Amino acid sequence: MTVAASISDRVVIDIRDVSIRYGDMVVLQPVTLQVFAGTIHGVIGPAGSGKTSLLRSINKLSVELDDATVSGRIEIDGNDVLALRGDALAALRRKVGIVFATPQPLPRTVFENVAFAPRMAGVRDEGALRATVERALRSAQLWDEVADRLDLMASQLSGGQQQRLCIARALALNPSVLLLDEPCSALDPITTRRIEDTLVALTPDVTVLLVTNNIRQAERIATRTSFILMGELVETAPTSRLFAEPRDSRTRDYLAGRFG
Amino acid sequence: MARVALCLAVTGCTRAADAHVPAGAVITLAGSTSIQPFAERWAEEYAGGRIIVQSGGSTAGIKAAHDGTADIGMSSRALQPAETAGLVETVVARDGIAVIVHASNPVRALTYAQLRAIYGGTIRNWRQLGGPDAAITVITREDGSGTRDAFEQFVMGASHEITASALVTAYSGGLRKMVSQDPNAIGYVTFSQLNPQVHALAIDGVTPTEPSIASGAYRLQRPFVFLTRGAPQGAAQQFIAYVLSDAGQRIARAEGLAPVTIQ
Amino acid sequence: MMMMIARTRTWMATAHLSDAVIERCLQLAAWSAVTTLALITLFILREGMPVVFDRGPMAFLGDVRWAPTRGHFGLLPMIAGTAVVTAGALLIGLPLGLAGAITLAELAPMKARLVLKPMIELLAGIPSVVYGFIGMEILVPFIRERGTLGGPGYSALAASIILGIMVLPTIIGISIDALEAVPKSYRDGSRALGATQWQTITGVVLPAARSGIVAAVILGMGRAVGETMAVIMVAGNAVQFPGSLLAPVRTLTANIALEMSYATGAHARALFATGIVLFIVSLSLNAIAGRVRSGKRASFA
Repeated sequence: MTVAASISDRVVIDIRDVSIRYGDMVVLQPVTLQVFAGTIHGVIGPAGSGKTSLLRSINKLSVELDDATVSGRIEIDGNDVLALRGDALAALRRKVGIVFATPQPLPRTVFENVAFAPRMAGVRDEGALRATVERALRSAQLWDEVADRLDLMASQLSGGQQQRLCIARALALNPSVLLLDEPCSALDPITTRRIEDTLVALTPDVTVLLVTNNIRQAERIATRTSFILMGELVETAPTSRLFAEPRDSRTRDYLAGRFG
Repeated sequence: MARVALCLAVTGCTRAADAHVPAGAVITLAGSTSIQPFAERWAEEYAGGRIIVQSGGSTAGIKAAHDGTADIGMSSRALQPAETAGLVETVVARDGIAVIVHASNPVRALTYAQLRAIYGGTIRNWRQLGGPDAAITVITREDGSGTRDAFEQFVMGASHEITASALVTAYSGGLRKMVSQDPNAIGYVTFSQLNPQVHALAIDGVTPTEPSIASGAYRLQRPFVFLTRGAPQGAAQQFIAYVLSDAGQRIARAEGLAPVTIQ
Repeated sequence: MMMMIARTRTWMATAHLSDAVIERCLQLAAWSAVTTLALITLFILREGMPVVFDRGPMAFLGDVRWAPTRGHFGLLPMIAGTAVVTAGALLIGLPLGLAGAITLAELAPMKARLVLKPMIELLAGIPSVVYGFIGMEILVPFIRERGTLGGPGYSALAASIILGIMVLPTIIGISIDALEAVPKSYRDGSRALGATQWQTITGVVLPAARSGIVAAVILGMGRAVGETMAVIMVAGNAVQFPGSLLAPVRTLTANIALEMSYATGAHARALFATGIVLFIVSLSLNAIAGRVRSGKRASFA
């Protein structure tokens, strides 16, 4: 497995001075961060640091569903995310897939879970849907296991399979950006490895932002990595340099496992 | 026994008064909802003791007198042969039943035959009676009401029934209200309930007034009867004597009834 | 050492004893509720069944005339009356109730929800006779005076409207519970995949809450079937099949309430038989609602 050696110059996700609060409680102080096209950008840090809030703000989920107040500017391919709403926001979300920490399939069959996004987007043709579902399941490395059981209820899959199903449904509409929030935290090492392979295989067509509690995972597959600690972005650097020569002492301590 | 208990709970618990108690004791009247307001009025003026008046309907009143659960049963309809056993009836007033229509209705008089046809469902439109072209809204009291019973007896007779499509009031005061709100309605109420919003029709040429009721010229009437188990005695007898006295009968007249003992 | 063991044993025995007492008391309370229900059931059956056996159920269900003093015990017009009025109430209450529940559970901001929800629950607290009064004074003349509608105003329509309003709190309350019970992850997932809020509600939330909403409707139906006072005041109580929505009707409950105090003998027993019919209908509706709710809970797992 090789990490993308060259880093493209095009910024896909542009986060500028973004701070997040829930009511009076500030969970993230102003953060500035760029994610480049076709790379996997890792975000590491201890629990409760605001990584998930940041991730969920990128497609404005935190604002709509968690009652968060987000200030600053978030641009995806030049679109100001925070200014979008309604149909435009829905359209954006079709281009930005998201996978949550615990597998959360919809109460539907495997097929219908993956077909959900295309259906909501207006795709009616059953043939096209079937092709899309197969493509997405293959990308998520799940097709071989479910090809003959597509009308099984998603809840009947194993944890690892459900998480890959969630990745597949996030990929159904060919998003250009994929956001993942600790996708392997509930999974065994073998499944974790398969998912990491999947993510790498998605680049350079898809830009990936990966929040992870697992430092080694970032080390394995992230091109660049940011370290966020207790609501503050401490430092961002190409992964190899961050791990070899962290500039901030807090980073050094975290990477050495002195806290976390 | 359980059913009796249920009925008692509905009509209110009573204490059966001893026939020999001296004046100043409490006596209970129960029965017709038509008689109830008048009984309460008499009770207000009566100085010889405390009177408790309950409703429940004529049938319930007859039963209460029979069972002894009330000292005096009130009935606004004639008793059936089976019901008279052991009871003494005292007529204390006469009540006319006025057939009413909305005050704006131009029809002012009907014959008994026409009234029977209206309530039987054969005449359905005011146009057939010289009125406007509008469907007649027929309103009646509920089955078991003494007022309805008297109406059926005098107007419908044994062979005719009130049509099934007639509206039935939910409670006794409701009929006048319903007629006063609907220009096409017809109904019947006790004479004392007349008010400016409704108009009493002349039946077979006779308008209901106190004199025409007292003389019997207005046939659509019924006696208000006080029932006692055996001849009236003690406190009950004194109250009935009061009601039949000049003072009591003048009150009856003032309230819209036709007295029986005075002119 | 032995003292300690003995003391512990005594303590545990006492704890067990008061536990047992409390348990017994609770059992007694529970059983008293069941016993009351059983006694009521037996009473109604004992009063009503003899006349059903005497004349056969067809005398009640096959006859279209209700004239108990003359020996006719046909309940069909009243059964039809109850059915029409209940159906009408649901036709009004279901869309409004569902819309209200969706608004409160999904769309309204928190502040609005805090005000609106108690107000709707207040609706449930208004006595039925007050509803009937408002119906008589305002709704009935309104229906009567709309020239094209016609009729005396006292009608199945009036009863349906009043009942529809009366069942709203039931339908809204239980539907809101059902909607709020839908896991957040479903909404999360749906929105994240690019569905709009409305698509999420119709495509994910409502189907997931379906069984709870069905239960709400069934319970609302039970309420409508059992309502007496308000219906008596606006429905007209004519003993006939409702030929149209504007015709007066009599429901089973109205039948009992209007005549019970005067009825004697076979008439009274016939009314008890009506009570049996109502009882069965109510019990069935409640049982079905219970089944629907627990059935879905099982498949949620």
